[in-house]
Amino acid sequence: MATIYEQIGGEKSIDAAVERFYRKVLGDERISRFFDDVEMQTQMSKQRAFLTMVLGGPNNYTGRDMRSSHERLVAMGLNDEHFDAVVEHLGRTLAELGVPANLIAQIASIAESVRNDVLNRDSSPVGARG
Amino acid sequence: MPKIRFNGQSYDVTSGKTVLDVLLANGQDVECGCKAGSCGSCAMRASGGPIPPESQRNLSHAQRERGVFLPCRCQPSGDLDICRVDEQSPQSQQKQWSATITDHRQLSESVVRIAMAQPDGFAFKGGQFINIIRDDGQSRPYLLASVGGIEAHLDLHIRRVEDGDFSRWLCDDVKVGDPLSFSGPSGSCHYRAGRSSDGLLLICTGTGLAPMWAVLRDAMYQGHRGPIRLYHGGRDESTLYMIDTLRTMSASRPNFKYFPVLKEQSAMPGFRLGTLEQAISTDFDSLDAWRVYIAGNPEMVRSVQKLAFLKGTRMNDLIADPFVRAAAPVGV
Repeated sequence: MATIYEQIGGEKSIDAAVERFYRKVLGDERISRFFDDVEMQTQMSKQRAFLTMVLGGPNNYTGRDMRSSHERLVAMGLNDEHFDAVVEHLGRTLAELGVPANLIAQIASIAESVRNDVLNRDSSPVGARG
Repeated sequence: MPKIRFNGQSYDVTSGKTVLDVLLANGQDVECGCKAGSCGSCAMRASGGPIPPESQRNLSHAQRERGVFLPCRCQPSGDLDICRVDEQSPQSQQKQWSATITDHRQLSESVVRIAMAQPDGFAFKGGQFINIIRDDGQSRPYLLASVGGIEAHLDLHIRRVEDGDFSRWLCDDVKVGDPLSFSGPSGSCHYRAGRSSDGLLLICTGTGLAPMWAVLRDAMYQGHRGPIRLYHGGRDESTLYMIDTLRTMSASRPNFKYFPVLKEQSAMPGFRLGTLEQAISTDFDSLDAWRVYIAGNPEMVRSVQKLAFLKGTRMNDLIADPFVRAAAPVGV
């Protein structure tokens, strides 16, 4: 069976999605500060990496990469609310591009799978740490 | 076997390996994600050899011109010098030129124009920069205000910085007839032919006007049909220059408008009051079909870049040369 990445058109769909997505993220006052202090071109390649990963494209990230690359942001206060906002923008972007709801739900669950690594906490369920 | 040079080290690239493989195998700290040319996180810059086209496939014009490539998709056919994206390639690798000064005069109290005869074999695009090199080995980047291929001279706008030894040398010591050495050109802040009905939005402070003056005239020479808007911002009138020339041009060219924007109220008529960000926010609901050029004060460049992107300018059409910004305190 084709992967989600293939189903939605592979690299081309990433091209279409990445600017839209980054524009939403950068325009959202709740989270823009986390995306603000890096050169825009560089920041957009990071968004591209994120989209490639959650859309099931070629990906060699490890949990450790996810943790170390977000450590600085967690120190700045990155939390669940911010993570939710990003997932929300991801869903809207894909919906605007005509991706069907069932695929968006699958994609959101892939994003969900890196939540604990991004937020630098134990992989045990939320709330289990007391 | 092709070699890559990085961080003072030289490595062989064995057949079937990518530049990324080699860097990682040698313990170099290189960021990477997909390792398949999709995510772009491993991007670096190369010079000194042919860059395989497949390693530049997803990149913007500006990035390709700067030699940005994706190491994960790069199996070089010849030797390459590699550096991180935000580093400048070592100057020793760049050819040096010499040109004679043909004009040296004040454009305002603090800005001097220097023109040089274009040396044979030296090609440039207006808005790119060159590094002026002094006898003591010091060098500074300056942006070209003349239009390559059409005007046979190199035009620079130099702001005299009171505690800036280099700019005082260029403003006060050098004179017509003197030779100046330089390397370059580099940078992507230049006009690109095509899509002639797009809008061109040129935004600058200080001598960031130099590349805009080049882009503006290059666009006109090439028959650009879309609207062209130039915003030059500063604290007060003394921080702007070429005001009369630009006003005259604005009055006589139907698709060109010039807006001098001052942060302080002026006694003279014809100035907008406020910041460049405020002026752009007021004047444009959408910047969807605009190419946006930005040069000058680094903070302004950053915030206007973000503003334009949020108003719909595509990343590929946002032209703010990072070297322009890095060089801003001295050269711009």
